[in-house]
Amino acid sequence: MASLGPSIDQLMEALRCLPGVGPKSAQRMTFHLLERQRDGGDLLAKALRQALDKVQHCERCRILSETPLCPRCTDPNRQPDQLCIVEMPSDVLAIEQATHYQGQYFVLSGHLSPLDGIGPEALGIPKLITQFAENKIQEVILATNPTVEGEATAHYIGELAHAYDIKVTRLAHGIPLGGELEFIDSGTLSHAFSGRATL
Amino acid sequence: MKSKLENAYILHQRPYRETSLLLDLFSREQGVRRVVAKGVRGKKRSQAGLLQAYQPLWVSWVGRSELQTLTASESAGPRHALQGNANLCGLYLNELLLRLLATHDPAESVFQLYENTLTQLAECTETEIVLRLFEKRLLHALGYALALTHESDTHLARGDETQYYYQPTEGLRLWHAGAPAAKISGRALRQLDEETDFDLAGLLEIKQLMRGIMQFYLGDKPLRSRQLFAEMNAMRPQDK
Repeated sequence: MASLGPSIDQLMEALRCLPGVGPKSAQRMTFHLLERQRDGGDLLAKALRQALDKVQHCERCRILSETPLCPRCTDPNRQPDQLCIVEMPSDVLAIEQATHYQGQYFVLSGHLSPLDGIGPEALGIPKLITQFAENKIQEVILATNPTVEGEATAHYIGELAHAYDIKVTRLAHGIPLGGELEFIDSGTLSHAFSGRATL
Repeated sequence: MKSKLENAYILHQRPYRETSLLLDLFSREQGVRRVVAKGVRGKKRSQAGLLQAYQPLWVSWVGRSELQTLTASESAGPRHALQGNANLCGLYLNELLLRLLATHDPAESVFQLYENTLTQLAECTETEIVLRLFEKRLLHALGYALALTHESDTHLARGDETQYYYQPTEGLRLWHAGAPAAKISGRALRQLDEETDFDLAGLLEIKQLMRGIMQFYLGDKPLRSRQLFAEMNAMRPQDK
């Protein structure tokens, strides 16, 4: 491709770090910003700079936060004795929107995956163990995904929590609301069947 | 080019693009291969529950390049229910297969072995024995069978009370100080050879032996699942 100068090339290359942005989209974005949206570009640059400078991971739950401890971790109305462990920050938002859960969170940012080389260190397990050792937590809610790696992660953290005499619970697997049995995959159905509840 | 449905397991899956999955499949007739399952993640997911490790599948794929596209997938039976520790052992099996099997190379005997081992892991608590036998039989199926009955240089039959060392290239030899491999007793070797009468001490020796042998065939790159288990064990509280 013909080059229009190093600054433009650099911008195109930089935009490609975004998910789903290939060379063609990066080129379109670059031209759009430079030709039509110079104000928007300025705003984007400032917002990005500001976010990169200010946003860190919360020291307690590891979610993105502008303060050393995130608002959820410092909220006195939330129960300090329940800890919900999730894989991704987006899971926290999903649970917050869907439930009345009022406890604490811990974000692993992934799951144990030997084949991808992700171990306990990368998931912040040492930090989690210090929280277990503080003796404040009564219940650990394992909300990792019901995938093979998510189950392995849940099992491992469950074992750690048991060692500190903490009650461990796991999210139930079941039939989606409004679902039809016929169309549910066999794994989900067998889980739902074996985990049936008494009425 | 439409291909027929094949019996297969997923050894590993990872997210790919926005809504797709990259799958490492192990199929009965066509060995290990990598396929893309398009549009199975996200809100409309109907197949993602099915596309998991330890789930017997019927699958088909198309494509002529290295990376092929999944066209159909159906359950071929109930999923092997590997829980807790067995699940971790399953991940170890999967890594071994991905490392030792050449892609696109049919390995029907290994497929059968893998399927049987999953069944055993789901049912049995003696995971150590199951894993050691899997390693031994896997080597056999790949043409690297262990020669455990006789000393390789003298052709003397193995004795229970004698100490040996074993190397994949040299075979079984009498142990001596400074031998290039770990010491293993004739008794432990008999347990491994006859696949019965396992005891704790023997299993520990066999584990050391198999670790050395697997390392030889795996090359320099260490097994990640083994590293992971070591890391996980290191973080367990001491009193447990």
